[in-house]
Amino acid sequence: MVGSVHTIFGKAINILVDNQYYTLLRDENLLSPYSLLVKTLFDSKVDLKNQLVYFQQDKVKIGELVEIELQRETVDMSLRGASETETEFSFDVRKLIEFISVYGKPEGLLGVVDRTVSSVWSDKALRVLGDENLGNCAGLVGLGIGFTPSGDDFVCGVLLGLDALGREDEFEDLVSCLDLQRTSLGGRSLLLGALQKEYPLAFRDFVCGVGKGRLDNKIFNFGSTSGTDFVSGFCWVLKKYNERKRR
Amino acid sequence: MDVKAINKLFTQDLVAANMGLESFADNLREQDTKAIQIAWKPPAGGDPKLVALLDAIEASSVDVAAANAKAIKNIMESKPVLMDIGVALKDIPGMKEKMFLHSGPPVTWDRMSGPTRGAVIGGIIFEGWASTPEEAEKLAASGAIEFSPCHHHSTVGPMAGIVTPSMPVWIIKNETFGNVAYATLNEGLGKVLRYGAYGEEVNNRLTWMRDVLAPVLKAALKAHGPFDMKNIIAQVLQMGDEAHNRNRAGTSIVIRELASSLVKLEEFSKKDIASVFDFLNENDHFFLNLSMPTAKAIIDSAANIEGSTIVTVMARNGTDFGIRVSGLGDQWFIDQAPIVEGLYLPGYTEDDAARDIGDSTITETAGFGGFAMAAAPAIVKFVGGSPDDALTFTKRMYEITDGENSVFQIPILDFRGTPTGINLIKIIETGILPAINTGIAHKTPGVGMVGAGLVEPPMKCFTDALEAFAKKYSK
Amino acid sequence: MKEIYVEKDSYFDSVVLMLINREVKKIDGISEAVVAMGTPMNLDLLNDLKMVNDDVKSATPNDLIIAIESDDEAILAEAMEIAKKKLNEKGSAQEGETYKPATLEAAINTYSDINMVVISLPGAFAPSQVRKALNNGRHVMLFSDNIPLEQEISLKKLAKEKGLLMMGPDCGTAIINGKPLCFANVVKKGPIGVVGASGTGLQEITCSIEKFGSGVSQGIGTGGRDLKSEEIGGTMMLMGIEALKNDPETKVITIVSKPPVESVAKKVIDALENSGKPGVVHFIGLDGKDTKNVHFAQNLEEAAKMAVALANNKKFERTLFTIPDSEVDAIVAKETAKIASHQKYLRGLYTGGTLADEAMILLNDSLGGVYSFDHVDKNFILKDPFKSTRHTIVDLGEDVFTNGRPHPMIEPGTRDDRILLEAKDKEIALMLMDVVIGYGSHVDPAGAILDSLKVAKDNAEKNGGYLSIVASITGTEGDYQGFADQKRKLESIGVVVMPSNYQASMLALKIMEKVGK
Repeated sequence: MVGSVHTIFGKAINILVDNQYYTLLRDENLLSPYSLLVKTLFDSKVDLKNQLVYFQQDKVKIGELVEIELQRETVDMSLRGASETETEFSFDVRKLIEFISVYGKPEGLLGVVDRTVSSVWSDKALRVLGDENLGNCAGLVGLGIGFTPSGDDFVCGVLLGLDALGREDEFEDLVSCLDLQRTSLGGRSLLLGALQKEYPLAFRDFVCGVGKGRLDNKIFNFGSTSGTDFVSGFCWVLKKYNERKRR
Repeated sequence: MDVKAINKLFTQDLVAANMGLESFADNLREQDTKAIQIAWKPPAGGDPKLVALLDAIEASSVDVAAANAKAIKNIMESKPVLMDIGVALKDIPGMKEKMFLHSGPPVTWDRMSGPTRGAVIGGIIFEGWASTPEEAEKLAASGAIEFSPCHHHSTVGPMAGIVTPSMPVWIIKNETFGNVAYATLNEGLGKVLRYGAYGEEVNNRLTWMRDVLAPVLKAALKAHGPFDMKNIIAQVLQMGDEAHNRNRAGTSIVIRELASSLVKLEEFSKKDIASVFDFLNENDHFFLNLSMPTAKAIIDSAANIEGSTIVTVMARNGTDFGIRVSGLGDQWFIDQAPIVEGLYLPGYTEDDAARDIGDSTITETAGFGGFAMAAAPAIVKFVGGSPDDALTFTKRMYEITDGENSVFQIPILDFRGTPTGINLIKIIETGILPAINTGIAHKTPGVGMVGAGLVEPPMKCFTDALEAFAKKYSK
Repeated sequence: MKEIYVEKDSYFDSVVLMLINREVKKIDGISEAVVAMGTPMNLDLLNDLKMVNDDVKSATPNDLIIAIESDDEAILAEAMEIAKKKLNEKGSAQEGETYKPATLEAAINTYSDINMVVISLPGAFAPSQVRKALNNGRHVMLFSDNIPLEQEISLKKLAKEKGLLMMGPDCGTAIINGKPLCFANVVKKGPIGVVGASGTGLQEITCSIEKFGSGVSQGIGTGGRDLKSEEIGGTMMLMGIEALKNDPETKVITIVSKPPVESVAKKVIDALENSGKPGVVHFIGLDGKDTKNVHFAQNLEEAAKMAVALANNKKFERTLFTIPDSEVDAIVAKETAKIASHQKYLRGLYTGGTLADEAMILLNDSLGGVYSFDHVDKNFILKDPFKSTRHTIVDLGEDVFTNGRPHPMIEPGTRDDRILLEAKDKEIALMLMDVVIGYGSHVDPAGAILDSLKVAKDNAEKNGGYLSIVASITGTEGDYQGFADQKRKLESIGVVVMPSNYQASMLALKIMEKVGK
């Protein structure tokens, strides 16, 4: 497998192989589908943009000099793979909304669930969501800024919510509406994982924690607004189906 | 009074070079007159003492230009040929039974850098003079072993550059002038003696190299016949190598050239021959230990020319950086070796780095290596730059060299010859230092390579040399 | 108002984008800012906000878009600049360095047709470069000063061996093949060759030649010491004369210098005599005897006038003014009418050294002594160069005034300060000055001192008197500042502009003769 270095972020190197993103990471907490854990990550200040990347047995070779050993253990990134799947989840939406209002970052889609804040993105998102039909949220794909646009994180939250609520049909319906060509390569990798029910570990473990009544605000440090946007999407879908249940 | 040149000027279009206030050039351009602004900088940071030295040399009776022209001519006419593989003690001139050669200018055990000490320890164990590192260290400190710079013996060594008496060595002869240069065989990357590593792995490899690799290659070389090294260097520059930090093409050529002779060898087992092939294949840097003595064989032809300011040696030992200048004979000009700026391998930082080390700067001295960086843009990222920087590196070196190589060419510069023959005076005048790209060793003995990068020699080596030159010649 | 910028194929860490968004929105007067990748949804949003242009329409998810809105154009531009700067701080592709020649050799190797090297480097570094240029067969104009005499001697020796020009050191002016170098004027081509050991002297003569309807073949500078040092012995002057002698376009040779060493003067005059071409000599403040070919001029303007007459085979007539006497009388009457009895003294504030010298020499005896910075008579040397005494003429280009500041020809501020200082002196009756234009000079030397001249005039009036200001402009219509324009500016505030420094000085004398009587 041969690719090239696409972007270098503080804690990750993104590699493009056949128009698909792979991310080299050292921090397991940042692990997402299509990311690869490596044993060491060199000083990413060095500009390696566009350098060739060769994947070999158990190492990645970047250009002429750098060789990085891969960690080969496979990690299950689905809900099932989490340690606490055996018991049932119960979600307290009101508490979650309070929590996100306090800790979330307002620059992305927080305004969708917390109407006291707004941004151009959340205003737009509310217009797109309109009558709050589930399929409408597919229209958020590619909206906003970031390596994964806010809308993609939001949709990932919705998908993970549906998965956690056991709403298989709705999950499939939403998946069929998603157009991954409408987003950045980073967003595509995220959603590609999500529609196979694999999520960034930080997202999955947060949801499992919430299901057990634990609210961990570490999630908001994921990306710049990614964590907040993800939780917003998760809240949005919980609210939708909890309300419907109540009716 | 002959003023023909002035009257000739009156008939020409004025074309001005402007040094200083740029508005003077702008004004001329406004009058449709060609004016070239020169980005001149004060020599060596504007030191009036150096300016006085330059003026003294310029005004002296010595014909520096003619002496340098002779040096450049010798370099161009050199014909380095790979002859044979010999043994250090037997073949290297001045080598003694209890002598180790090392890279760079002279250095004593107490001042040796980590990698050099490590390599000395490994070398002692390899020679069987001690069985543990502690014993080896004691022996090294005792004064029982004589340490001598490779350059004092027509030899060059990468990194620590340790050459011990029983090591096999390449023998390269400059057929035009008859001088010979030597270097050991390259061990590969990882835990290797030249980076100061010692221990079982290192010792086993050195032993295998002495007992299997060298005899096999010697026999193959004999069957193949001598290699025209100039020809090979010219080829590798067109294949993306610069023959210092990138040697993939060079190593490949050696394998290709020797393949037939190797497989035909009858006195060695298939297993041994296959192990030689594997070793060459796995070691991208194998060719480095051929490009270095090639450079040495070439540049030695320019040494010791009266009145020449061509730099004939740049070498470091992890403690000091030293240079030699043609017209100043065998005198070293020394300053502390710098820390290399560059890319560190995973897990290492600048804090782990030893000071600049090795004789591999002989490649730049002879007009390739860092000076031919434009030919090897693939490596620039690893020495911290862009392909444009590689071009600029090479172009800038034309400012401090006197010649353009007739054989070593750079395709992307329209096959312009590599900048060849570093002129001390030009370095002082422009303040431009030779560009060297190099590997970085760990400062602790025994660890090995931690990165690669770019380094400039200390200016003081050159200013001291200038002072000595002015003193010697401007009487 | 909206400004939109699209950067193709560039990815940025979302932290960076967020920061930029925040920074830009913080700026007062920015109503909206969007920094995002060009996904269809984002384009849709930008469309909602009406922040769209053609670049945005064709953007892809891999392109970065910056869109900013504000009512204020300046704020908008500033915000966009901040945004772009932030982007470049991190992550964007590195631009490699490009190569520029750093040395003379490299320049010569690349541009083999270089035939003149103009050097204005600091004095300590100049000689080695001059030597290099000469050794490479290139002519040199050495603008730099502070070159030791021994260096000049050896450089000129080398230039002589090679038969090359080494104009300088401290050579401010030359006209080669019609092209003005450094501080020089655009003068028409013509039959008169000039070799000058004085920069402003060369400028005044060449400009006057054009004024008298002729032109200049070559204007060669030699540097001020060429004729003043026995060892240099007028080397460059002699080479210049020889070259002009051989030059078919040159019909008359004119030379100018401050008073030379006697032995050198003789050599130079002999060379001129033997050139076979008519020669004009002006040794500022030093007369001489005419010979068959060599004619001595008494001032810079006269040198030009003589040369033009010789070039046209006409007889030279010595005159004081080139304007009718009646007109001169009228000016004098007008200028002296209101001067009060407490106004007694003349002050000359010059930017051109040779012009200041010329005025000094013309006025010194008639006014009973003029104080200056370097008067030959010790009694008339200014104790404090920054304070005028009685009649005073200063060259504000002297090192003592320029210390750490540009020469007043480049930056007239020095003279501005001095004018305002003189304006406070009630006893001042007349201000005499030069205005030098051309390449090298300030873009508007007249305009730059108008305000302070006006203040000086007003002050005199307040004190119940009148300040007469007499000036001349060294320059031609071809100069980029415009001769006529400079003249009009000076005249607009009542400055009398005379055709030359000589005539300005002589008019000043006529006025001063009537002052206090």
